[in-house]
Amino acid sequence: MTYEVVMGLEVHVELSTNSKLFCSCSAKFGADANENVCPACAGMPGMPAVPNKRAIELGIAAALVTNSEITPVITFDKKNYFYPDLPTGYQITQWFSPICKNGWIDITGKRITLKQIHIEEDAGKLVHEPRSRSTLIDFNRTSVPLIEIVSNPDFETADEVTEYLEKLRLLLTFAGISDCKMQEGSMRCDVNISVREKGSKILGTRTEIKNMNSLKAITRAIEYESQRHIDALETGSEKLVQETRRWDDTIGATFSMREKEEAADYRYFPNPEIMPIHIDNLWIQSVKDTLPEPAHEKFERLTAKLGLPEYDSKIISSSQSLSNIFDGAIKLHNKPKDISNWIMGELLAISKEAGIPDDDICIDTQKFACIIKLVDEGKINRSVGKKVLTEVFEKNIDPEAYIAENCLAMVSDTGLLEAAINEVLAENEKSVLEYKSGSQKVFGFLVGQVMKKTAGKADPRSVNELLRSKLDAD
Amino acid sequence: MKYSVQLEETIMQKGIPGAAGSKMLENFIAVFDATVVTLLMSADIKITGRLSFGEFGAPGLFSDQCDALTAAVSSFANSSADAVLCNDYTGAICTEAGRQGLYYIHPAYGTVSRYGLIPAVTSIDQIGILCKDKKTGFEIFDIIKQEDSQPCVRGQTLSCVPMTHACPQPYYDVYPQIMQILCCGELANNISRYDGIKFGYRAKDYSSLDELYTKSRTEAFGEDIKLAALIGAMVLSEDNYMPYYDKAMRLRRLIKNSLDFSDCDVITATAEQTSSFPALSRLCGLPSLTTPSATYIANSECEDLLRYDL
Amino acid sequence: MSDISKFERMAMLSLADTERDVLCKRFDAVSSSFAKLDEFDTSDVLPLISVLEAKNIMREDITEKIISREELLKNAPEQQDGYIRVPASIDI
Repeated sequence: MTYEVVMGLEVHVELSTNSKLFCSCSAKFGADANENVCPACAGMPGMPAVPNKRAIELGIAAALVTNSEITPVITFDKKNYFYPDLPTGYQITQWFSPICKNGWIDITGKRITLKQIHIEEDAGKLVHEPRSRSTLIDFNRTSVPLIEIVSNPDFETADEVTEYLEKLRLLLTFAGISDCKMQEGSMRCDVNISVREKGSKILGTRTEIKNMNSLKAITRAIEYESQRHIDALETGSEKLVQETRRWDDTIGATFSMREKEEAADYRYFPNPEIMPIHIDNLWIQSVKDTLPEPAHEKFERLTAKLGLPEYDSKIISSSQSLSNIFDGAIKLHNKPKDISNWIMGELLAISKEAGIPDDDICIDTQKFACIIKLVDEGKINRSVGKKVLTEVFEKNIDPEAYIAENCLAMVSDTGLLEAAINEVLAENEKSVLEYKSGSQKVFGFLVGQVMKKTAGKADPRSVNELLRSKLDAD
Repeated sequence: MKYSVQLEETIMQKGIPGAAGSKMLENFIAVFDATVVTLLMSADIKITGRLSFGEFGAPGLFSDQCDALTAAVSSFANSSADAVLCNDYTGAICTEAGRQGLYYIHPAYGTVSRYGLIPAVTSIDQIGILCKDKKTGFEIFDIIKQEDSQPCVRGQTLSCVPMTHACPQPYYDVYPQIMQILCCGELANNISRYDGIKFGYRAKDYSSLDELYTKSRTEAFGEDIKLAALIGAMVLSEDNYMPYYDKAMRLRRLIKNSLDFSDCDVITATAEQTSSFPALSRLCGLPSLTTPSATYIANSECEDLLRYDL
Repeated sequence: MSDISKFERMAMLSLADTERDVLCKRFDAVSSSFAKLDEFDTSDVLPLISVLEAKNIMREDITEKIISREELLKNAPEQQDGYIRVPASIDI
C-alpha cells in the first residue's frame, strides 16, 4: 500500500509597521514586558479601534506579490473566545471579507494556490512559570498587525513546504512587507496534514501541527506526523482524530493539544466601529509603484536581458542587499558583467571573511562603482582594487583619496616595468632555467615576484607580456 | 460657566473608579478622561457627581420598568445639577425623563465623541443630555459635540408630523426583538473584556484559570447583564447568526431606508402612543428630543431643528 | 426549558442551579419572541453594520505613547516584574 501526503499551510506574518493595527502603540520587537501597551490593546474600555493605513497597504502589497484578487471593499470582524493572551475577549480579524483571494506562488515544478490572505491582530505573549504554577502575560504583541496566508492543500512533501516558505520569505522581504524572521516570531507556520492511499480522491483525517520554530523543525514535524498517520492507517494502533497537535522539537514528536476536541464557536460578527475600506485601482496602483522588482523578475532580467550567468543571477536576485548594490552600481558604471563579477568575487569574499551574511551586506554603492571603474580604466589593478574595496567595506574610506595617499596607482610605464623584470630575472636564475626547460608553473612565480617588486601596483597584463617576451627572447 | 453637570458612571474620569453601575468595575480606576469630560472642563462646567442608571446603563433592555432608573432620574431632578450626560442606548432613560417632567436630548449617532465612554452597544451608543430645560440642554450640547458637526440649513417653517405618517409600520411590531438581538449581541461582546485578569473584579476563590474567568464574571455581573450575555452568545452562535443577528441587521437597514422625511422635518409620538418610539431613533442613528409631553425625531442633518419650539 | 449550558460556556459564566433556572425561563421568554422576524423577507437588502455612511477611516502609521506601564498595571489584581500574573492555563 502506498500513501500520499496532502498538506495545506497557514502562515502568519507580522507586517513591518511602526505602530500596531488598531492603536498607536509601537509594534517594535524586543521591548520590556508591557512597555508598548495602551488602554486599547490592554483590553480596557473606551478607546476606539482605528485601522493603521500602512497595514492595509502592506496587505495590498501582499496581494500583489502573490498574484491574488483584491477584495474591493473590506471590513473587519470580531472573533470571540477567551484566552489570557487576548485582552478584549475577541480578536479583530477578517472573516467575511479577506483582503484577497485565489493567489498563487510557484515552486519547482508546481504551482501552490492560495485560498486567501486576511489581515488580523496578533495576541499577547504568555510566559509559563511552572514553579509558581502561574502564567505571566505580556501585551506588547497584542494588536500587532498580521497577515494570515492560507494555502490550498497543494503540498505533498516537506521539501515543497520549505521551498514555498523560502520563496514566500523572499517575496515578502523584498516588498518590505515583513522581515519574516522565524526566530523572532515574525513568521509562523502551521501545517494541516492528512494522508490517503495513492490515487484516492478522498481526503484522510486531518491534523494541524503548531509550534515549529524553524524550517528544520517543520521538516521534522512533517516527517514525523505523516509517518504517524501512515502507521495508524496501516496497523490501526492509533485512531486518527481531527485535532490540533503541538510539535516538540526536543523530543521529536507531536502531542495532542486538547483532551476533548470541541469545535469552538467563534460567533463572528462585523465590527461596527470600523468603517469599510474601499480599495480602488488608484490606490492599488500607487502601492504597486512602490514595490521593488520581485526576485524572479529580477532573475529573468539579469539572465535574459543582461546576459549574466544563471548562478550569479540567482545569488544576486535572491538577496535584497546584493540586488540593491547591483542596481545602484549599474547606474554609475553601466557594465553589468563587471559589476556582477565584482559582487560574486571580491565583495562576497570580503563579506564572508568578515562573517557577514548576504542580506546584511552594506556598502556605499557609489564608492563600489568608483573602484570598479578605476580598475576598468586601468588606473589601478584588480588586486589593489580589492584592497581598496576592503577598506571601503570596513572603514568606508574614500577610494580616490586612499589611492592617492598610498600611491596605489597602477604602474604601466614600460621602462619601470622592464627595470623591475630585469631585477627579478637576475635574482632568480634557477627559475629562469626551469622555465626554459619547459616549466610553465614557474612563470606565475616570476610574475608574482615582479608584482612584489612594484609593491603590487604593476599592470598585470603588461607584466605578463613583457616578461613573456623577455624570457622567450633569450 | 454657570452650569453644573453630573455624569453617568459609564463616562470615564481619570483617577476615578469607572464603575458603570457594575460590581465588575467598582474599583477599576479610569486611566484617561473621556473627551466630553475634557470639553466640559475647558468650558469651566463643574462636574458634581456620578450616577448609575443600571448596570452598564442597560435598563430597558428586557423590561419597561426599572427601579434603579426611576430612582436615578428622580435623584437628578431633585439635585441642583443642571444636566446629566448619559448613554441612553435603549431609550429607557429618555422615556423615564419625559415621565418625570424632564427633557432628554439624544444626538445623532457620531455627533458626540464616544472616546472614554464604557461601551455597551457600539453601533448605537451616543452620549446625550438629560436636563431640566431645553435651552440649557442645548447649550451644554454645543459644548460637548464634535467640531465638524454641521448646522442645519433647512427652511424656517418646520413641519412636524405624527409618527404614523412617516414611520415604517410593518417593522414597528418587531422593534423590541431587533433591539434585543442587536443590543445583546454587541453588549455580550463588549463585556467579554471583563475577565478578572487585567483589571476589575476578581473572584477570591478559584483553583484554575477557567474558574478565575467564570467565577469573577458570574459573581460580578447582575442578572440582566448575564441574560444579555446568554442571549448575545445565542444570537451570534453559528446556527443562529443568520436567522437572528444577520436578519436583525437587514431589518435595521429596511427600517432606515423606509423612513420618509420628504415632506416633513420631524416626526413625533406621544408617550401614550408608543414605548418603543425612541428605538426608532437608536436604530437609525437619528437625533431625538424628549419633552414632558412628547418625543421628536429629526432627520440626521437637522438636529438643530429640535431646538425650535415644536 | 432550553439547554443554555453551551451559551453559559460561551459567555464564561458558571451559574448556580437556582440562578440558571431563573435565567433559563427569562431566556426562553425573550428568545421565543425572536421567531417574529421570520415573517419578514430581507433577501433584497444587505445587513446594516453602521448607520454612518463613512468609509476609509484610517490612521497614519505613527507611534504615540499614551500611558506608562506603571499606570497601566495599577489596576492589575496581580503582577510580577512588569507582567500580569494568573494561575496556569490548562492548555500547553
